[in-house]
Amino acid sequence: MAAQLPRRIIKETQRLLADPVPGISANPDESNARYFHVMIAGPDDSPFAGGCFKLELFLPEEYPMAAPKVRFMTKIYHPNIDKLGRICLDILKDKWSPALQIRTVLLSIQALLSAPNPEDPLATDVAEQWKTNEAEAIKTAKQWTLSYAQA
Amino acid sequence: MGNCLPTLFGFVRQQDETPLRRNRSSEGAMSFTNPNMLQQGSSYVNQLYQHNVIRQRQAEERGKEIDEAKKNRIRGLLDQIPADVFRGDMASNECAICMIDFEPGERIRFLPCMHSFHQECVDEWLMKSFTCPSCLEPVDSTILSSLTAHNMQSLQQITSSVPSSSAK
Repeated sequence: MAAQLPRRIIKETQRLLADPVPGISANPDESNARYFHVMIAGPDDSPFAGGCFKLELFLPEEYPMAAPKVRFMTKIYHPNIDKLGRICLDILKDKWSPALQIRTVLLSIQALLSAPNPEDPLATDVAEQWKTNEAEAIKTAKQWTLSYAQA
Repeated sequence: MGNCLPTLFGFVRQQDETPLRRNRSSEGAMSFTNPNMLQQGSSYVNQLYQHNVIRQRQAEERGKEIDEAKKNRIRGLLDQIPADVFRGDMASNECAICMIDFEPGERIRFLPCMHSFHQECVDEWLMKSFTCPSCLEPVDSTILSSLTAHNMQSLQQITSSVPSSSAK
């Protein structure tokens, strides 16, 4: 079976559970300590306010030398998140550093909900809407939050 | 359903087998089972396949050589970054990579940006990316070459003499 869990992962998990980030919960799976069930509350200042978004986070074998794999499980209307829930975020790709942690990654995702960036899109149709008619895009994002992101 | 087809076909063939058909089918069978044809065909395919395999292996080896050259270059650069054994009188700190406190006797590496990590932890990262994990500052080779001139002790003297040098 899998090699022994690195002490860093144990430590991070303990700290996440003991001192959780406001608006975020992350709990390791019962059968796989590298797999986390994550919930992020939509930030108040965003069209996702009042929503509760489910994500999955997986720490690959190379972690922390490689970034965690994170994906939205809840449908969300956001220019940097595609239909499959994949997230366009630099620290999950080329800007990853082993000094970053699960906590910092989840904080960055929470910040991405507050500040959608249509200039660096993953969902091109959403980004286009966001750029051409922001009011309409925000309206759709609010509707989706009401329809899909209720706990 | 699919299972029925072969038996059905076999049955039909047996039923309307005419001399002409038998001839044709035997010819066909000949051309397919002709040992010469098969060998020729397969040896050509084998050649193509083997060429392909050889080409892939060569590309892999070339890639490995490049990787190895890059790693050797980085190892050379790593030798220029100061490292020291952690002592009890040094400020206690947690390695940001493994999240374990430095213990006396462990080897610590000091990057030019003054961030420090376990040597083992940070070297693994520097082989991938030549940047500081904490501040993402590139581990600059010009700073490195100026550091090579000094060992850790003279480095400490330099840092302690900074106020006087800035005063003049």
